[in-house]
Amino acid sequence: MDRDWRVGLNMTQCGSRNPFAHALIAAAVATAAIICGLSYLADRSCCEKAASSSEIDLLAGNLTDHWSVYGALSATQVSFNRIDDGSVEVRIRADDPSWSTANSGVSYTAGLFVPGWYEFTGEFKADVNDSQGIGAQLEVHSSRWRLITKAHSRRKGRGEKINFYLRPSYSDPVAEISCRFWGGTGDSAGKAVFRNMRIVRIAGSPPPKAPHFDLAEQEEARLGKSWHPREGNILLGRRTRPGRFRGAAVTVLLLGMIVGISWRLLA
Amino acid sequence: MDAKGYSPPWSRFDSVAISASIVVATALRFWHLGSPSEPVYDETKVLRQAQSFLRGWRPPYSSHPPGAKLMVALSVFLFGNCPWGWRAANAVMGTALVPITYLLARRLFHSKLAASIAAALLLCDGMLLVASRLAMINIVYITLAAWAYLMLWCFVQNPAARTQPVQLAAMSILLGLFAATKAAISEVGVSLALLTVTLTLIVDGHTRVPVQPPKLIARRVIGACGLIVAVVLLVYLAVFVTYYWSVWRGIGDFVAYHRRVLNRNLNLPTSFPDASPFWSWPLMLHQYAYWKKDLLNGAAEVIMCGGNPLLWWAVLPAILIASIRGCTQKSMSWIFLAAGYMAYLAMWIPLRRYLFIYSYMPALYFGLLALAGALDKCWNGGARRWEHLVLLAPLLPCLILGLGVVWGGFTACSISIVYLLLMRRAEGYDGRFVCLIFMSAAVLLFAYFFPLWIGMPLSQSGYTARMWLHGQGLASWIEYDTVR
Repeated sequence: MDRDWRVGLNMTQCGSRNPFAHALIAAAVATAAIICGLSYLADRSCCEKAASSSEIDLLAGNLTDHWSVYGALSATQVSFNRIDDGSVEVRIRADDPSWSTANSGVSYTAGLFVPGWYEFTGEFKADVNDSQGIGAQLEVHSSRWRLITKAHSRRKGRGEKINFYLRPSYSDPVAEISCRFWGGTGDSAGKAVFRNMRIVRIAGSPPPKAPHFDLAEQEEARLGKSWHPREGNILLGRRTRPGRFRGAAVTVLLLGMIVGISWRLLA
Repeated sequence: MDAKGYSPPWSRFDSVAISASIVVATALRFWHLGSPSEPVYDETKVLRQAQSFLRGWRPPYSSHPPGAKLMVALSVFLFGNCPWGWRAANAVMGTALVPITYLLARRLFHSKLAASIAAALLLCDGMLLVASRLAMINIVYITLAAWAYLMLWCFVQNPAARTQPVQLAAMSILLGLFAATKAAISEVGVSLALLTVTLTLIVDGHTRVPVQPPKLIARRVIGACGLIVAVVLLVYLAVFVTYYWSVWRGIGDFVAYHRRVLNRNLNLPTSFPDASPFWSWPLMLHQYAYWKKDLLNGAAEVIMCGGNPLLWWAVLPAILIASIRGCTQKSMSWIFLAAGYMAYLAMWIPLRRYLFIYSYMPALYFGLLALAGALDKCWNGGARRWEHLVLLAPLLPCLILGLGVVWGGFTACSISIVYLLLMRRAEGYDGRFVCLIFMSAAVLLFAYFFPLWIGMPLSQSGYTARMWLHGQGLASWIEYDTVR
């Protein structure tokens, strides 16, 4: 065999004389495999920890590490304060009213990687003044779907209760919970209070009368279940119609002939 | 032409260099691979395609063939539908690119040092790192293309005609996979390979003793081109079998799909948020954030679609050096690199649709190889004075933008003085100095920009300091689409 073609180097011959080269590269590949394995295990343990708890408390732990701001707001303009009854107050401070012209607020992203149904619960209350253009709304995004709960000025003192079930899509198993604000300027340009905001993974299906959104089913319906690998193999599956492969087979045959002829010409 | 000839014998240095590059590349690509734990940018589209393959649904529309998405599907199948599982296959491909580049540069320049520099440059670039850590299609086609070029150069440097068809077949399979991963760009890669093979066979025929008759040369050229085109098409068709099985009713649908892709691309608008014209890519005028999160603790987590500014800005002088060396020395390696870079940039000239900076990656790859070759020449004393100067020139904007006018200017003056002293007093060391300074600066800048490429939390001031260009127009790195 020509020494050049195997791996593009003449190391095969040198390597047979000097096992150092092969041993070192094998050790490097083994180290790389160990790094991959460790990276996988580290990520896996995080996922399993999240899965075993089956509950994501949006208001637990250090809030500033999990919640982020978006739009025209900066971190310095937003403050999260815990109130005695366990709820969390979000306050927007702004000197310039321009923040409100862009879509701005705070958000929390939760990975819902264990397939199945999740229950979203919580209570949300916000300062609303329609005449001054102050308000807020809670939004839950997942894939292309979104649920909007707007704070109402009529319900003074009472909050909006959120309780629904969501099954995320297969291709985007993530939910983003955000609170969008609009308002004016000053220390209370916008204000909202969150309480008991949780995402709980449930076993089985949600209660039939409860509001529920099956994004996995929607995705399946949108893309169409035209075939399934388990319903037969690629050659003998019951959905196979040999006729539709005729054109491709002729093309493959033709290309195969060209390969054969070209090989002979080259050799 | 100097193409023929073996690469230098494999040494301990090669073993150590390639082993180190594998370990470092793996660590950089797999470290915190599952972060961020949500789909980033076009990952959503790729994951939707991958899920459709895994679940037997009709694949959603995509402008690009399904090669890379099948790979992501395999990754999800093996490691689960979680961020690590989405990105593992691409991280493997991104890791493989580094040793492949080492082997390719070794063949192109017949130098272990050039190979080591090429691998180091690849490790120090941000765009390739980001592409390796996200479940998108770019790193897959870049790696397949690099592997195909390696096989191409095995063919070019192989004096034994007997084994050449095997090498061509292997290269064609890789080119077929390349074509089955990325539309348009892959056609340039295949054309480049066809041209190089044709040129090699013609030159080989004329330089052999005895000289081959023109009829035999023509026969071999036709055979080689026929083999490449046919194998590429076969592999391309084979990758599309998933579409055949799920939705297509015949070869007519295959044609209709391509017509639809072409029409959609021709009708795309000329502008789009974060898009930039192709001529601005080498200057890195408009890199942008694939993903950004402003945490309430004041930290910013960002994944930028951009590279190491020193390397990007040094690619242009490197291509200039490659072009001049290619013409004056009639060196096939240099011509290949310069032609490849220009072809991958020139392909965008006739297009009117919006484009993104990540489409510069195939040209950048050629540029980084040329840069490695140029720095190797500096180290070995084979570079001329003007080559030293044009390679040092990109350091100046980096120093001024990074350290400010005073400290940047002071450092630039110090470097110039040391260079002038070495040039006058210790000839031969001036080139080494250029190479060392350049590589040190590249590594430092890599460390500086590293948090921007992997989504590591940065303070707002740290983030702002790294946004070197922040103008109102095209020359801005901080434009971020805030409209949700």
